[in-house]
Amino acid sequence: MGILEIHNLTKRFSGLVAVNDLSFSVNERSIHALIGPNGSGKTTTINMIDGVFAPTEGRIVFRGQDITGKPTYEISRAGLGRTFQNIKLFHTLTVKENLMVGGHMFYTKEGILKFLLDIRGTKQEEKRLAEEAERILELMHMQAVANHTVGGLPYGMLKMVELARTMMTAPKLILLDEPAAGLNPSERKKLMEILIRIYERGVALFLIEHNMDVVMNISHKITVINFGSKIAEGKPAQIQNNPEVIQAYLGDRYKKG
Amino acid sequence: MVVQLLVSGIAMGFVYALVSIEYTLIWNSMGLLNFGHEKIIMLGAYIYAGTMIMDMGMGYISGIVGAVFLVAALGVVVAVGIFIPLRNMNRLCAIMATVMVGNIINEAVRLFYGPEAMTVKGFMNGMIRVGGLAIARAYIYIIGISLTIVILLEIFMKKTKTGKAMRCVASNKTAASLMGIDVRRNMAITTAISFAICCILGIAVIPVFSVSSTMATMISLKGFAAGVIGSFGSLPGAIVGGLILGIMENIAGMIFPSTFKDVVAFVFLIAVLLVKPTGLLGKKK
Amino acid sequence: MIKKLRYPLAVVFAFVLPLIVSNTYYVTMFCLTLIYMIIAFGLNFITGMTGQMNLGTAGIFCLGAYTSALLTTRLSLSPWIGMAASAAVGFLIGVGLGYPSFRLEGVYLSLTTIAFGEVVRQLANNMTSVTGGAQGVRNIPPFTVFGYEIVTKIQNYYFILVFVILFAFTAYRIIHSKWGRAFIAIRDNIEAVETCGINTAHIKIVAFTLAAVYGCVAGSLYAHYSAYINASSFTLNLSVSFVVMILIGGMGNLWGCMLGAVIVSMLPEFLRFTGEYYQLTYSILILLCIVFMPGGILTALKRQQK
Repeated sequence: MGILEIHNLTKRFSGLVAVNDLSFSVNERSIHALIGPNGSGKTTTINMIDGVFAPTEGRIVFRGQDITGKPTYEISRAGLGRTFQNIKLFHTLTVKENLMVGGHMFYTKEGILKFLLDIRGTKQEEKRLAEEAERILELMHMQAVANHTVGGLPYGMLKMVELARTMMTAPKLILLDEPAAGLNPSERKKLMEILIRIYERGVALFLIEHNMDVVMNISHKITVINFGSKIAEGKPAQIQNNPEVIQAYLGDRYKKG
Repeated sequence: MVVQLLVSGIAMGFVYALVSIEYTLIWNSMGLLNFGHEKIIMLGAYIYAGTMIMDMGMGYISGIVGAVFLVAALGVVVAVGIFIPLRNMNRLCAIMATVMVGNIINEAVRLFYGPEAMTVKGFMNGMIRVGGLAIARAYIYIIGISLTIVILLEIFMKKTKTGKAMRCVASNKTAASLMGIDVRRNMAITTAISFAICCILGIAVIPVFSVSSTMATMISLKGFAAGVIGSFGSLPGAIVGGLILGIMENIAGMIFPSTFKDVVAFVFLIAVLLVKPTGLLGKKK
Repeated sequence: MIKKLRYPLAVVFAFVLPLIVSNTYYVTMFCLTLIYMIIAFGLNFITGMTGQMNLGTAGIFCLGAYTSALLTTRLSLSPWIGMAASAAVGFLIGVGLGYPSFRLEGVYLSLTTIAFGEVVRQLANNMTSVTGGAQGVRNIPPFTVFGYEIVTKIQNYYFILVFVILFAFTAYRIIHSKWGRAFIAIRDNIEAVETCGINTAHIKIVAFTLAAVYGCVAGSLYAHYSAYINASSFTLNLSVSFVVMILIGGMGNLWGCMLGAVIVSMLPEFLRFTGEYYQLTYSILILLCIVFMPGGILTALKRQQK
């Protein structure tokens, strides 16, 4: 049984079918990629998994628990994190503060009343949260920007901050929506290193990505969709030589001779 | 008795619906809630009663045309000078700016027309007898005027090029400008139409509330409530919400002391938000 | 150096101010300014930090004032019990109005709070048997501290100042904690907050409830300070002025709240020369402020320094 199982997922937007009877399973401790042409329903799929909108039909099971149609915050608490295609950060807060918002639920427990009365306990919680944020920043080699306001940072760094913030929610699986988009080759290399490092800490990754270098290098399994339906699934080598995938999406360039 | 209450309820319901339509137009077009709309409604009544009828001695109908024209022109000025530049600002600042525009108009009216309330003698006064029932003529006029505006607006939005462009701007600004629609000009026209509706509303309720600086406070608040009760941002929702609110508060007026009439409307608003937050006609997201 | 000492310095300044300017007229104004500061601190949580428009603060303030005033005059309870009851009412408003308003988009709060403010004012005005109606509530007893009655304006000033310091300290703690971060995060990007496992509706209700409790306690202080309250003073215009305070001072910042409260309560003095044109001048000034300094005066000053 996989960590995330998608059963017969369908989404219709007033007549338009965005995702059509899609089923797949993400294995525990694996890196799984979802690829397909623009408009094939990839982001819609992630948005349904993450509770942004409810599927028209189908079921989503995460770690044995049915999360279909649950609100985003509950899904996140269950251990499913995500990043966005167009980065979503808190631009007036610093990098470290962004991470600390990420750890709000996981590392602090006090309600507002207890918070107001228990000054010492509050300080301890705050300290623990700050330490955890520093640990994650260290893991991702980002200590240098810890106290910078997010608003002024370069694009590549913002993607890292978002990933780091997701790590603060102690996820078991992270959904990554085009993590490499807009990155230059050296940033891309760094991203792959960090993704591998996160994976090695026991976090499964599920990514949508157009950059085939990234996808083919790090994925264990690839699912290909077109017009909302699955057209192929398998290891990178199998996908690269699948004629239907080549015709619909990859082109001849990636065919292994 | 019940029939009279029903008629006045429907009339007030249409007033709320028009208020709701008037701010929905600006909301859909610019994403701005015009909290100054109360003052625009009042301004319309003052210009009609104070300037057109009393100072210039115009007839009822020509006075309406003149007042609507003036207020619509003010709409263009406010849109170009304030609303359009503000629409991309932080929402709090934008809302406060519309409140301040309202305050400025309020003060200008007070300084220009003086603090005393006015009425227009003989305007839409009297009763109509229908099968032994006496019904205030003003309510019949209000229902007629409102229906006309709703129908004209519907035709305008569906059939004319400008109206279609307005709907396009409401649903997607980027796409609209790519299609060659002058979005800013379109927003100015929308504001002018919204202000014109405010002006007609102000004139239409003169026999009910007379002309004073606070004449529109309650109807503008209930117009907001009507929109939320029906379905925020939709025209059919505005009409349904307005009618329900108008009829309900008149029926509640029979049960509770009349001073609590206004309270009932807002309690109902909160009840609707609790039970069906998207409004009675609203779809789930 | 100054940065470290600014809080103690501000407190010292506040303590000596009535010794320098001891004219009763001005001390009265200072008292009101202090009460407004408490309201501004509260409103800052929901509007300044979380970015949700609240136009019902006058209603909150009014309920707080009436709760305390009626309990002490009708039931002869101690003003301290009145204040505790006011705080409890604030909590009820926060949850009762916040819960329906926050299930959807932010615009709903601005609409429901306006409606709420109107309902409160109308009820206070019309439920004559309970509230005294348009007559208002008279002879509200003063607070007593260790057997001493707080009667004179100067006594009131220091009494209220203690509350301002207490509420400022609490606000400071909240702003610089996980709560403050979550509030700002909601203003910056609400969808991202949900992916952090945070129930944004819950956080907004917390922010709104804090605002309501601050406002109600301020109302209680106001009732016992002025000894007479009347529903007609708690208008939508008053709610608007509270938002203006945090908007022109500088949102999300305690100094901004204080500056805003000072400006809005002192402006009638400075603009006295405009006479009949006061309201017009005031509205135009505020409009210009909003358009040209959208982050408030403090933000604009900071930018100038850079």
